[in-house]
Amino acid sequence: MAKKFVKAFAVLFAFSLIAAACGGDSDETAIENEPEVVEEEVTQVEEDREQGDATGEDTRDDMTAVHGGRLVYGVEADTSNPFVPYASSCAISCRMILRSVSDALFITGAGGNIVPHLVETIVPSADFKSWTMAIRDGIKFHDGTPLDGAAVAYNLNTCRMSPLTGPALSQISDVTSDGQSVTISYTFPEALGPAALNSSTQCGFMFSPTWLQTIASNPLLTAEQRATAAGNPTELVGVGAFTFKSYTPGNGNSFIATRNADYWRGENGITGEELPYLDEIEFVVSVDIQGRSNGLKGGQFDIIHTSNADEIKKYEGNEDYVLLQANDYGETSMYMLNAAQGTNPYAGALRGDPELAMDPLGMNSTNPMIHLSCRKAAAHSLDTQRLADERGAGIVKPANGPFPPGSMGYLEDTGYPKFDIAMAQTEMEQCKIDSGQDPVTVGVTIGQDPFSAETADLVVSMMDDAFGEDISVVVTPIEQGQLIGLALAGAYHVMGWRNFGGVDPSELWYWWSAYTASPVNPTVPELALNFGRFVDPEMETAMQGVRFNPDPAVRKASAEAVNRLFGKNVWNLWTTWTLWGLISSPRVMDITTFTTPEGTMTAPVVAGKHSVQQIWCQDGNCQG
Amino acid sequence: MAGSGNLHLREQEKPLLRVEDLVVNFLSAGGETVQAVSGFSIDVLEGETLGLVGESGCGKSTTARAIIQSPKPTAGSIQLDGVELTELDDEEMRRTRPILQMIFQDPISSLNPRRTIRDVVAEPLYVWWEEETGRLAIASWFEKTGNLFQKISSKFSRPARILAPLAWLSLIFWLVSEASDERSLETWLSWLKTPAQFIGFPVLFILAAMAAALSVVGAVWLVLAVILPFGVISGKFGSVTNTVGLTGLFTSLFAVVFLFFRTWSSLGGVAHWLSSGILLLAVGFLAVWSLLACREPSRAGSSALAVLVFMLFAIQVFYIVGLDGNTKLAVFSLSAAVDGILYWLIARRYKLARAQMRQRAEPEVKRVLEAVGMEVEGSLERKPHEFSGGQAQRISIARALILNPKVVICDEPVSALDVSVQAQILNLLEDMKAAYGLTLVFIAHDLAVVKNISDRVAVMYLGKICEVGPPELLYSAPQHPYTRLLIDAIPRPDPEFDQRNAVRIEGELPSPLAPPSGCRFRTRCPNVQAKCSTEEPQMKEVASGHYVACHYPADSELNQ
Amino acid sequence: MIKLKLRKRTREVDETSRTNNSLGLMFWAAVSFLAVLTFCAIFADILPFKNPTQTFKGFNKNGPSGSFLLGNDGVGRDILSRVVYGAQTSLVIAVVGTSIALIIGGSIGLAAGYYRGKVDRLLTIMLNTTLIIPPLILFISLILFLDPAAERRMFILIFTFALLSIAPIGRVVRANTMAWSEREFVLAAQTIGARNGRVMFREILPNVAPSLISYSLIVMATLIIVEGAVAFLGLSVPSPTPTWGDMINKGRPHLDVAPHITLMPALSMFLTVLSLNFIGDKLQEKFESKAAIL
Ligand code: SF4
Repeated sequence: MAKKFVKAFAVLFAFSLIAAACGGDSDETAIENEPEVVEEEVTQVEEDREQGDATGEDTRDDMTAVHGGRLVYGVEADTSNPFVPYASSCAISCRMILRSVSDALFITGAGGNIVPHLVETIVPSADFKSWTMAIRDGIKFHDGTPLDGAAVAYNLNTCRMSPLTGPALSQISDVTSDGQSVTISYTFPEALGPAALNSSTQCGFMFSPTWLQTIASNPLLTAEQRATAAGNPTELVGVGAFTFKSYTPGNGNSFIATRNADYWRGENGITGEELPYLDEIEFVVSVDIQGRSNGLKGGQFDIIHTSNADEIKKYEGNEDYVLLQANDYGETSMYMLNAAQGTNPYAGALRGDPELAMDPLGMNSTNPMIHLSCRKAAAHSLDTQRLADERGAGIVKPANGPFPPGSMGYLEDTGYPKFDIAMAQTEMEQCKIDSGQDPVTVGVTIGQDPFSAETADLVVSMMDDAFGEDISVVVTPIEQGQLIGLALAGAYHVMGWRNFGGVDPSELWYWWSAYTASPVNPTVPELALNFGRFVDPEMETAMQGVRFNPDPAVRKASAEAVNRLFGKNVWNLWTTWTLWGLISSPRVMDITTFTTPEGTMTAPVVAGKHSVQQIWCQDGNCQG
Repeated sequence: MAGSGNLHLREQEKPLLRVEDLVVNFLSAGGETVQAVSGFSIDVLEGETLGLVGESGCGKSTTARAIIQSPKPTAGSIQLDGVELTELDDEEMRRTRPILQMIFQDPISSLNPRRTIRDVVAEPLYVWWEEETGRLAIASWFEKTGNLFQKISSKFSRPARILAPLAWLSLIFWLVSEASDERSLETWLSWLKTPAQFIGFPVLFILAAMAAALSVVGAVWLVLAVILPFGVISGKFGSVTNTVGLTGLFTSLFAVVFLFFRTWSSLGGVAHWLSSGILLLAVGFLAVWSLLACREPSRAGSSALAVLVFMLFAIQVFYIVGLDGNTKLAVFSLSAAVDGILYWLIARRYKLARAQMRQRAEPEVKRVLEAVGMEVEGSLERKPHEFSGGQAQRISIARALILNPKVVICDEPVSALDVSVQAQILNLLEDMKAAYGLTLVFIAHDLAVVKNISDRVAVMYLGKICEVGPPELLYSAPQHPYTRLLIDAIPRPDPEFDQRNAVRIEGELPSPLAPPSGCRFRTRCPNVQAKCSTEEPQMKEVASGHYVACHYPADSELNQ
Repeated sequence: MIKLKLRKRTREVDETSRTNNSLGLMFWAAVSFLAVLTFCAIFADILPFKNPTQTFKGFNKNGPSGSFLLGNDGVGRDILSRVVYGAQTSLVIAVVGTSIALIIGGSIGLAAGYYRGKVDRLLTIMLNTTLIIPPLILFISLILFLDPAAERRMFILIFTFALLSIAPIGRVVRANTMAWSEREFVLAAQTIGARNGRVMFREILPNVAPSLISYSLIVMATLIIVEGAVAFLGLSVPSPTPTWGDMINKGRPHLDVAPHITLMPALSMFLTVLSLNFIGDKLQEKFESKAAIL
């Protein structure tokens, strides 16, 4: 029983993190108390991309925003367990919905810093183990409940107690409230503090505690309360610019929300602004990109999002539509390498076994990728520029590390092996000696979707070109849902993967830490979020610099050190950075230009997601 | 009719064919019992012709088929030349068949449309010659090995019966582990674990582990596994041929399964699977052929050859597909050439054998075809559908005669023919009877047809005999009311008369599902009395050799 | 006698005219297509086809050109050679699967139709049991249990396809055998002392064979389509072995920019299936008309 529970729990937890990661979740890092006002740069999207820095900023000429209109947004996926944050596997489509009906405590600023939104001020204690926030006064949920400290604490506690989201907040030891102030205590010093609860974390969004108490799945409820709880977790009651109207699940479903006249940044609100401009917003799921694209062309949608580079490419230079491209804070595509071997004193320390063997069953012992020479050979053999050109329509960038341009820790040159067949062959000679194999045999596990499968074909062919008879690659397509199980268990040699989206590297530590690298075990997979299972003391040191040091300069240097370590040790084979595209009718204005009440410009697009309050349509009519 | 009793059987003489109390029941589609023949008795002396007459559905054809044991009757005795046919097993019956032949109603349907007349007529010879030569060629060797198996089995029979299944099971596991040298034994066992646990035979694993642990042990088990079952089987059936066939079957299965597992992991891609697919085909092929060899020992020799050739082909494909580029071309051409020569040789050998057989059969075929009045020239290589009904019936007769039978059963041989041809065929049968000294059972649905040809006529109604007697008596002085009606219905010599409608009797033929009580004819009999429904009439002699089963026959005083 | 001769002549006329008309240009076109395809598939290695797994840099999604007659796929591989090598897979699966089903289903059908009674009932139950299994569920569960890593996918495919084709083939053979067993030549063969095996294989099988062969061609065509469907789900033989279904599947994301990637293998599959069906139908027609004159 216990083992089963552990397994189920591990899978659940990993799912939540992956949902988060895939949604490009991460918390911003920089704790800059004084938000910078970023000067608006009117740059062409093309130029941005040339610089490896497509931000998705809507740079069209300023016109005066007008009220009115109904916007239909074509989104890419349905959400499992919608939408209440503590229970939802909330990816990009769900996150857009959260952004429409509620606001987060913090929001990502244009420079990658994190700025307060619902929060007015934030003060850390001297040891950075306790942070006190003051919540803006006078904000009300849609049901009239005031947003006070207690409401924020209640929201955070639902997330902390939930098996899905709890592990990610495990460093919080206590949450107390008093009037409009909330104090969060941490087990370790936290350089980022509650700024982690920003708009790219589902738990950063606030919902009415009155409503939450009617939801049966709420972990804070007692059994009796649960029995009588009749609320619907999809009928969100937030503080946002739009109020819930209706929701129909399934492909082609729609989530409709109407204008909240009492929005705290609206005409009746505390800031006296005019937000939002739209009368109504509808999110319609259209899973297939062709369907989404056709829906846009046919007038069914006014705006769509996609990470399909081919499709984005098609809209380039198309005058009839507005295309915004963004690779900020997005995920990195890669081939994960399973490095499980030897012992892991870090994870061993946690369970009292300093000699913890990483591969007790010897399942990974035939994996050549446990040898640095083999990893380098593979990295040298991959023409990542060609992968970007042919698999990314020539508009995505080859990746050189986990941090895309614009993120903290990004480097032009990370020291990651460059495409060089001669070098690859030299390393392969060493690899054959190290692994004792000839030909060197590698198993590559990938998802079953045609695009990944075809990409893998290209990768295999590149390796064949570089190594010929020296290598034998066996590609195994696995049903998408099973991949995560294999990754958790370490039952793979090389696996096609996409991960590490985030604003701040400190929120990515569990993917890379030796503490989360548990032994390969196909029967009882444990919490091994470090799927590659590498044990790298230098990495541990560098990650501490990112996580626990409040000095921004040190954090940046540490993040760069992390990046260089990836380059030096080749823990993963990087391929490309994900590019998101927002495609809309030209009538839709100010798609990504959102400022805080203080006038701070926010990051236009974070891993594909953006704010919707500021969007308006020409003549107050989105359809024209 | 409704006649029971065997008074009409001639005990004092020794008949060639003697049918006593024959009963044939079968299940109708609705699951009810159809009483097609109920207590039919008759005897036929050597050289005699028996005419068996009755309406359609009276059971006369069923009787004919029961006599040739196809299907076997429900009860009763059928003696042919003193041999009780119903007690013979299938094989003994088969060996008896040549002396008991049959001619069928539909001449076209009784000839295989895909074979030439030469082969159709000679087929009986082929069947028995092949058996003969096959037995001669392989008997000595197989007898020896068969005896060896029998000896072993007689010594080990009791332990073998227990050990053989276990041995087979462990053989399978041994094969599996042997076949998986790249995988550890544990992996394989764990792979097998789920279904095995499900079936609930954990003991298999102990055996498997024993068998797999040491290849020496495995080899011992293998020997036991292969030899013991055959010992058991051969001991049980006592038949050399079965032993041979099953040995072939199991050893070939063994070999191919082994090869299959062995190659499973050693090759990759299409090549691997192509060859494995062919090996799988070989399994089916070998199994079928071995089974054939089991049933038909005459085929054992040729099947062994075929198997060898097929294996050679499979191995070639297996090997060639694994090669690449120019090597493949070279090896392919070479093996194609070798195969070509080999197949040519085999085909030639086979053709020669066929040709020899045909040649050997040709005089016989010509003789019988000429005897039945067929023009031999130009008809040998033609197919049955190129002939008219009368010609086809002559061919049928030729086929029946080629084995020199003693008894020929003619099941309405002329009723499907044109009237003009009927007489020719009847005359032919008469001639053949004289020429070959045949004994005939001639079945017809009207008395006129059998009148001239028969030495003795039996009239049948609803599964029973009404009246038996020499035609002179029976036709001039019919005793049974049914016979009288039949004779009345004989058409006048008028060529336009439709014979099928000749027999006109009041009322419907009762259902054989529930035949009437007492006399079965009582529902339609003009003389019916109360007694007829309660008491079944018994056979009684009304004149010398003339028997009737009726309470009130024509000559009885009661009937006056 | 005059009557007889007349009848014979009419038959001959009928037959010659029928023979000339029944096959026809389309039939021979279909046969030639299959012959060329099979030849190319068997000798793909020694014919001047490009390496089907080599990706040509800069040629991805190119249309047909001089050096790549059918164009290149999403990662620059030569579609022509992939179509030819894909034919290998399709044909092996279809031919081997059908052959196994033919041997097993044919034997079962022959025995059931010939022996009837209890044997028939038992064998028919066996055949019907295989019809109860939903094919895709059977296939997917076999994959999950026996072959999650796609190491023996070809075996599973052939096994499943053969298993599923046994019942249809067995039923066709059984029905045919039953009809032919009614003929008196079968009883005649038994009467001369031929063993049951000889009767089945020498007398009945040659008569059942024509419809069996034409039906098998149709089964083959079906298996090619099913393999395509399975490959479309990404469950067929794994990369890099080219299969038509896999090519269609992988061409799908590029459908609007490079439709030829999907079109070429789809066309090959279409033509192959069409040819097999056409030949099967024609043969069936021909044999049926021949049987009808008997
Ligand atoms: S008289 Fe009576 S016994 Fe004789 S046939 Fe008629 S019904 Fe039968």
